[in-house]
Amino acid sequence: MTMKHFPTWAFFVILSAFLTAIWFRGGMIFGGGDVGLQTYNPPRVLEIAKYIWWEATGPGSPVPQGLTAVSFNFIFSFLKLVGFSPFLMQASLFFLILTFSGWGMYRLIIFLLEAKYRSFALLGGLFYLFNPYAMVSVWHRFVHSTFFFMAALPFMIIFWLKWIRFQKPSALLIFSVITLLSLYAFGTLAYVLTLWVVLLMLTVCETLFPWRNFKFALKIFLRFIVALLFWIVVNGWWMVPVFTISPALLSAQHSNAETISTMINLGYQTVIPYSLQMVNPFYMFYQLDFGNAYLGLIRIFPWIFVAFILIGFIRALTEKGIAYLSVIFMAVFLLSKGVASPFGYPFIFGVDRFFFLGVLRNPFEKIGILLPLFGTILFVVGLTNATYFLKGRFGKLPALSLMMLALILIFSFSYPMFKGEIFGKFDKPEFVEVPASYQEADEFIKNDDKDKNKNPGKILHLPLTRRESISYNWPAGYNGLESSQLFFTGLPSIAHGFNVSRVDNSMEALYFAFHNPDLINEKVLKIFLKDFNIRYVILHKDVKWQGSDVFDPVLTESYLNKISFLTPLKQFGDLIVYKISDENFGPKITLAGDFKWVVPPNSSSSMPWILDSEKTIITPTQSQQIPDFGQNPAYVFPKSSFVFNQASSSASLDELIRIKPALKQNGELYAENLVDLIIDSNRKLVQKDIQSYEKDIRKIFSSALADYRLTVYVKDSYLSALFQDHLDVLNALGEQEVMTFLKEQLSQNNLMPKYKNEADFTERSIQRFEIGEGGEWEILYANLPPLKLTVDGEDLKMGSKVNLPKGEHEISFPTLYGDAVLIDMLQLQNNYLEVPLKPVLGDNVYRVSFQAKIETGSGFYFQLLQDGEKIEQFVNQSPGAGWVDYNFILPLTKSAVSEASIRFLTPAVRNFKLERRLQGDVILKKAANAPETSGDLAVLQIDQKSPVFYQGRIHLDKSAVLVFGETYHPGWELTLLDYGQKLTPSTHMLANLYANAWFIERGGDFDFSIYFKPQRIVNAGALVAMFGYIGLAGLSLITKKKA
Amino acid sequence: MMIFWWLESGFSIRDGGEPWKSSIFGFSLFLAMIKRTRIYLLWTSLILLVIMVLFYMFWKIPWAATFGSIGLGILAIFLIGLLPELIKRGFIEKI
Repeated sequence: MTMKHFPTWAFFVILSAFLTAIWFRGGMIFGGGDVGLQTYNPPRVLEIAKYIWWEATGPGSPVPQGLTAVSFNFIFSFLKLVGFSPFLMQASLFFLILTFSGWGMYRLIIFLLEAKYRSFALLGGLFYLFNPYAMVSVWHRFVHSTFFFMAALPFMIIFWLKWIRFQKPSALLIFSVITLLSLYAFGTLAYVLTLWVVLLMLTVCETLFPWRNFKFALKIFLRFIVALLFWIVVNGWWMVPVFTISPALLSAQHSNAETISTMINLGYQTVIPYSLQMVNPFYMFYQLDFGNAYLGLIRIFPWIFVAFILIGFIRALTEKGIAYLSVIFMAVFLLSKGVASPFGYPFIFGVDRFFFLGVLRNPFEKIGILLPLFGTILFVVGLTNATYFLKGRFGKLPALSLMMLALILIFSFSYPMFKGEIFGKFDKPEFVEVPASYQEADEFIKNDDKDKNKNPGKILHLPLTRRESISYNWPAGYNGLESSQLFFTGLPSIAHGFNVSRVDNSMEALYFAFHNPDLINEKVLKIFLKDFNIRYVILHKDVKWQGSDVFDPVLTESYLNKISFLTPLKQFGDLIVYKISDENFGPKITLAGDFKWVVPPNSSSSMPWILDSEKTIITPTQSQQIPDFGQNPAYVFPKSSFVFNQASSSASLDELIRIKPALKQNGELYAENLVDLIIDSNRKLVQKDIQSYEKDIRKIFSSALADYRLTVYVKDSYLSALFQDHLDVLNALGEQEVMTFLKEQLSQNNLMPKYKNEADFTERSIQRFEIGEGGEWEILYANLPPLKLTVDGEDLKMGSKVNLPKGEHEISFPTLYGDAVLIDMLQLQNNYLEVPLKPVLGDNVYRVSFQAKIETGSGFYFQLLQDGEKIEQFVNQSPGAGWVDYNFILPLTKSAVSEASIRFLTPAVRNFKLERRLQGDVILKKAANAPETSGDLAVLQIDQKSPVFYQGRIHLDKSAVLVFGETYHPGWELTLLDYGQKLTPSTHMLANLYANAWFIERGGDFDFSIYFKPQRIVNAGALVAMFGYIGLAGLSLITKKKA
Repeated sequence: MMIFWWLESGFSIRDGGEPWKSSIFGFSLFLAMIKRTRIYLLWTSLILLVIMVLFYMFWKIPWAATFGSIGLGILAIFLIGLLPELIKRGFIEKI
C-alpha cells in the first residue's frame, strides 16, 4: 500500500471500527440460525475441524467441508490465547471483514477503471459495504462463509487479472494465498463454483473483447488452465475429501424433486423487481426483520442505485477496456435470479440432470454475491458519468449535490447497519449469552473423567433432537445450530441429528427408550447406552421444547431419576449431569464372539426390541458376503410396511384437482406434472382409449411415486383408492395386460399388496421382507401380540414357523387397535369437551368414533391438541339430524409428544371410543445351526491417539467381530498385527445399528489399529499444498530477480 | 422463438404467458441483429423497467414481475446484438 492510498485505508478502518462498536455495544456475541456460534471457541473448532472425522459430534460423522474452517480458526486461536473473549473475537472478525470489503472494492475500482473514475472509488467502496444485498443477504443472513467471500472477492479479482494479463507468478501466488486466508468461504461448496465461474468469465472477456488472434487466446487459456491446476493442487487437501464424500452425503439429504421445489419457491423471491435492486424480499418485506420502514417510500432508494447501475451498464459498453463489465454483469444477473423469468428454465433442466448442481439451489445467495461486486463498479461508472454530465451542463454545484445525494441514499437505506439492528429482528437482536453453567459442567466432566484416552466415552445430551438446530431459554435466548461440541470439550457429545436416516433412527430409538418405560425395561436401556458408549448424560432443562421434536425435559427428568444405574452427580444451573456406573459403561471398542444378524427396521419404533439380549447386532452392508451366516441367529425386519384399505374411489381425483394449485404455489414441479398425468390418464380411461392410457400409466410409474413428492401433499390412501378404481374399470373392459402392469406398479409403490384378497375389506397392515437365504423361518412379533397372518397370499396355519425361499415375501394382517378408551357421555368443561390421549409418545395413530348432535349452525369443530399445538377439523352436520355416527383416523403429526388430547367444541358427544393403532413389526428369525462356541475374548488395551486413529491390543480364542463405536463409514479401516504379520479384515459391517464392525476370522493375540483412511488424503494434500506454495514462491522470486 | 420458449419454461406452459413472451423475445432478437433498430430495443427495455418500478411501488408485484421480465429479457437480447461489435472492437462506438 502506497502512502497515496493511506487516507482511504484509514477511512475504512475508522468506519469499520465505528460500525463494529455500534453492533457490539451490548457486550454480547451474535449467534444462532444455521451458523450457530462460529467465533465462540476457535481453539475447540480447530481441534475438531483439522480432522475430517468429527468425533466431537457423536456418534461421529465425516465433515470434510469443516477443513475449510482450519485457517480462520488457527489464526483466531491466537486471539483466544492472548485473552480475547468470544465477544472480542467476533467483533474483531466483523471489523476485519468490513475493512477488507470496503478497502478491497476501492482498490478494485482503482485497478479496473481509468483515471476519471478513481476519485469515485471511495464511493464505490462505500456502496459495496452498504447496498441492499450486503445488508440483507450478507450481514443480516449471517452466513460467515459469505462474509469471507465478500471481503476476499475484490482482491482475488485484482490478482487474477494481474496473472491473466501479465503472467506474473507472484500475482498467482498472492491470489492463492488470499484463497487460503479466506478458505472459510468455501465451507459453502457453491462458492467454489461461483469463484471459478467469475474467473472464467473474466478470462473469456479478456480473450474475446476484443478478439486479437488465436495465439493470444491460446496464451490466455493456458494461463487459466495453469492457475486452475495450481489452485486444485494447493486446495486438494480439503477439496478431494469434500468432493469424494459430500455428494454421497448430500444425496442422502436432498432429492432432485426437493431441490427443484426449493428453487422454484425461491424463484418467487427473485423475480426481476426484487433481484434487480438486489433485495431479498423474504427478510425485508415478508418477515419484516427490519420493521415496517421498508414498506414505505424508502423502497424507491434502491431504484436510484439501479438507475446509476443501468447508466453505468450502457456507458461502460461504449468505453474501451471496461465494456466487458456490462456483459459480465448481465450474465451474473441472469444466473443469480435463478428460475425466475426471463430465461430461468436452464436451472431446472440442469438440476434435473446433474445432481451436483443442487448446490446452487439458492442461486441468489450463491451466485448473487457477484451482483454487488459488478453492480458497484457499474454504479461508480454511472454515477461518475452522471456527475460529469451535470458538471458540464450546470456547473459544479449540481454535480456535487448529486454525489452528496448518492451518499445520503446509500447511508440512509442501510440505516439498520448504523443502528445495530442488522442481526436478528429489529426489535430482538440475535444476541447470545451462553450461561456460565455450561463451562462449569464441562470443567466438572473433564475433572471427573480421568481415562479419556484409555477408555473413551461419550456424553448423551437430553432432550435429543433429530434436527440440527435447537432453542434455549438463555438470558438473551438462542435459536440455531445445536453446538454442544463447542461447550463440552472433554468428551464427544451425542446431541443432535445428522439428517441421515439410519443414524438418526438409531439415536431417536435411544432417546425414546427413556420415555417408554412401559415397553422398554432397564435392561434394554442399559444395552442401548452401552452400545452408544455413553459415559455421562446431561439433561438440559433450558431447552425450549414446545413446537419442536423433543419431549418436555421435566418429563425426561422424572424418567431419568427412576433409572437405577444412572447417578445424578451435580446440577449446574439448568443442567443436570448424570453418570453411568462403571459396570454399565460400554467401551468404545469391544469384541463379540456370538452375535445376531439383523436386517434392521426402517423406523426407530421397533429397534429396542432387537436389544432384548446383550448379543451384538451385526448388519451386513450392501453386496457383502455374510461370513458364517448359519452359526449365528438372523433376524429380518420388514424392509417396508404400509396400511392398505380395499376401497376404490373416484373422489380421490377431486382431491388431486383440489391440491394442484398448492403444488404450483409451492414449486412442486414433479408432483404437479404427475397430477397432470394422472388426471390425463383418468380421462383416457373414461374415453376407453386404452393405448394412450397405458402410455400415461407407464410414464407415471417410470420413477418411484415417492420421488415426485406428491405424497407429501396427498395421502397414499387417496392414490391407492384412485388406482383401485382404475383397476375395476380395466377389469370390466377385460384389459388384463394393462391391469397386470398397474397392479405390479401399485404393489412396488406400496399402494397395494402384491397378494390381495378381493373379498377382504378390512384394513390390513402389509409388511415386505427380503431374505437372503431360504429355509425355515420363525415368526416373531415386535410390539404386537401374536396374529393371524397371511404369508404371500396364503393364510398361515397355526404355528410360528414358515418355509420361505430366498427372495421377497409379503406378510399381511388386520391392523390392530388397542388401548381403548370408552366414554358414554362427554362432560362439558370450560365450554369444551376434552379427552386426553394416553399413552402418548409420538407418531401415534388413533381411531376415534363417536356420536354427535348439534342444535344450531352447520356443523362443529373438533381439535387434536399435541403439546399445545392445535390441528382443527370441521365436521358438517345439519342441526336437525339428531345423533350422527362419526369415525376418524387421527395421526399425531409430531414425533415426540408429551401430552395430547381431543377437544370438541360445542356439540353434545356420546358413545365416544378412542383406540390407538398398534404399531409394530412382524420379524422373521432363523435359528443358528451351530452351538455357541466358547473361548476368551478380551480387549486388553485401547489408546486413542486422535479422533481418526486408535491403537490397542486384543486377545481372541476364536473368530469374532470387533465393534468400534463410531458411526459406520467405509473409510474406517482395521489393521491387525500378529507378530509382525499384517492383516486387514475386509468384512466391514454395521454394528448395533450405527457403528462399525469387522469380522476377524481366526483367534490370536493382535495389536490393532483403526484409522479413518480419508484423513491420509488430507495429510498428503496438505504436504503437496505446502510444496506448491513454496515452489511458486521460489518461481516468483526467480522471475522478479530476472526482471 | 422456440429457443426462448425453452429458456422460459422448457416448452411447457406454466403461467400462460410463455408463448407470447417468447414471441416478443424472438422478435427482439430479430431487431437486435439490425443495427438501426437496436436502439429502439434499448429504449423499450428501459421503458418497461420504468413501468415495472411503478407497479412495484404500488405493490403490484405480479405485474411488475411481468414487465420486469420482458424488459430485462429485451435488454439481454440487446446485449447479444452488440456482441459482434464488442468482439471486433472491444467496445461499442455508438449505441
